[in-house]
Amino acid sequence: MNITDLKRGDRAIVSAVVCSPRLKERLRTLGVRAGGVLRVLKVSFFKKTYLLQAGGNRLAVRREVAECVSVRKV
Amino acid sequence: MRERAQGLELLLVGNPNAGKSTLFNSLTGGHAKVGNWHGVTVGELSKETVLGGERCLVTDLPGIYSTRGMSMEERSACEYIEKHPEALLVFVGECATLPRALPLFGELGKGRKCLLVLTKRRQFERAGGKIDADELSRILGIPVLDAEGFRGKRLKERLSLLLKDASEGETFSLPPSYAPAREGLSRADRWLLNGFFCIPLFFGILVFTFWVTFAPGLLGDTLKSLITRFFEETLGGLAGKISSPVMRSFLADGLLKSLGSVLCFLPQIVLLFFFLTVMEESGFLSRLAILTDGVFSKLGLNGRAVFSLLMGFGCSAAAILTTRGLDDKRIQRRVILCLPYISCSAKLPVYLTLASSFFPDPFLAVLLLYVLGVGLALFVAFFLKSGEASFVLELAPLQFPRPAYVVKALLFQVKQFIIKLGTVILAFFLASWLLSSFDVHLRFCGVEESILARLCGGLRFLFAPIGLGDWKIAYAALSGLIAKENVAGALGMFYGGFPFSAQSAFAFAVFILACSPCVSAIAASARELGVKSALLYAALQTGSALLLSYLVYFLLTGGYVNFLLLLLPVKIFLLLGYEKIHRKRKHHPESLHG
Repeated sequence: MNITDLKRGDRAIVSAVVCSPRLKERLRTLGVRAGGVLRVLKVSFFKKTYLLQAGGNRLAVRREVAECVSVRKV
Repeated sequence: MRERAQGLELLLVGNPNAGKSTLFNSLTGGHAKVGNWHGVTVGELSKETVLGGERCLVTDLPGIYSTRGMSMEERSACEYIEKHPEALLVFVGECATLPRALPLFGELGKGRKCLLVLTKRRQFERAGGKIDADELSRILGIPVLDAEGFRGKRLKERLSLLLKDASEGETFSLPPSYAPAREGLSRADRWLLNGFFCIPLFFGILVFTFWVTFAPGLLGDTLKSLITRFFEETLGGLAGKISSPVMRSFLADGLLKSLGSVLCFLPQIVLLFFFLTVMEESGFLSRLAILTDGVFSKLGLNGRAVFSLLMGFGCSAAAILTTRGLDDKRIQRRVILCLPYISCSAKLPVYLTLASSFFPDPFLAVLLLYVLGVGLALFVAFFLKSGEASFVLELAPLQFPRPAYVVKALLFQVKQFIIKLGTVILAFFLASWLLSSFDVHLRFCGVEESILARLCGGLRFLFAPIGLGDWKIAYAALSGLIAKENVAGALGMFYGGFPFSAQSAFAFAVFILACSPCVSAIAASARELGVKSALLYAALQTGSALLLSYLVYFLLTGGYVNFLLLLLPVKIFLLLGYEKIHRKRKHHPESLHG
């Protein structure tokens, strides 16, 4: 399961982030890291962009980036 | 390269949008660009100041998320810090994002003297957060300054007191009393992050901006008319009384007509910048970037390009510099190639000079040209599309634009405009007047007998296909390479307006819209893409702009008949080519389409 399987308001724990090292590092600094909790704040109309809350950070990621983040729904 | 001051060097370090540039401006009186956007600062900026009676060099660096950063500006900031090991690090941390900033500070501050400046505390506490600067200072082992409520001199004094206590940090972790801000979206954000509300709102703001700025009888037009009247009636009247024909021509044609043709548009340029600055300061742009990322992905760009493209409405050169904030070199290249088609404020005087020839209402004319420019820019992006890039953007906080910052930004733009007018543009007009008023024997003469006519006479063929077979038009157009405002000034100097047909005016406007940007923008492109690429793109843009203007004129003068005539051979060619391919490959239609 990854972020794109979540709906607005869902909370999940990140299991793994599988992407390029630079992107992984950017996601890590913005709170999207293995073991961290995130919440989906909003999904765009065509499900192209996901707005997330991770730690104290609110960030938007494109669908292709969201697919790289495996999660476990809580 | 700037020489280091004999004294302390301070490096302002922190996450994007933490307030580093605002602090820099407060400490140095500088004019670093500020904005409520992650990635405003794209390069190092240094300025000397006096802190605690000691000369210091303060350097504002681009924001860093991580030392293993994704973007070009992060890498450049980290390199700068490494190359200045003796400098004192002033960490600038936004209260809400301290949990992620502290590990970065710990990594950068190893073995170095540092102190921490906290920003945006009031906003953080309003959102339910809690922080104690004194407790934080005890845990970190470095001085901590809460910058909330301090500006300018008072901030400088407070920081000066802490400088001598700067030390190597101990533990970069949060105090137990720290409480994060509330999660979730505010009510305003629930609206602004709704595409059905925000996108129409954005277009509404744009149309309103254009309407207030350009519509006859409204603010922008009224102020412009006042300046025009002052130049034409008051100053022009005084110049007309001068007996010497040379002096009279110099003042009336060389100075008043040319400078007046540009200066009168200053109120409208300021209004445009006002709306851009307000959108930037409010945090609206980051919401727009998120909402438009889906559309931009189809063009091979990402939502972050919105910032650069909108900045292009102000100044192409500055917009090109902001592309450093894009994480992908391919996207950066594409955005830089699109930016010349976004009509910068310098093109405004030209559009308004030409608009009266083809549209009674300048508001509609300028709106059309701007829309056309954006359309061309997006078309170029789509044409150059190759593959997709990722998109990760932090949402900037929503805030009411700070009036002091908006006013300061506008005054800075006015100052820059006046300086440009008084230097580059004035020098060009003086040179143009001299060359167009004297012949090869240095006798005062008409423009057609002048040195300039001799030098540029051959250019008359350049715009002949659009009904402008006059070398002065070509000269005016090419003068836009130095500064786009020169085009309006040159037209004013030679003609006092634009006395040609509506079709020629529109075709010429299309050329100005689509041609290469000014030398400042070309230089900015050269810094990012290399000199050869920048010059090649400039040449290609100018060539294609010329062809586009020819096509527009052809369509406007021939109407639909010409358009259909143009389509017919294309259609026949395609049909013939299709049949030929199928016959060669012995294809049977049924097997293809069955």
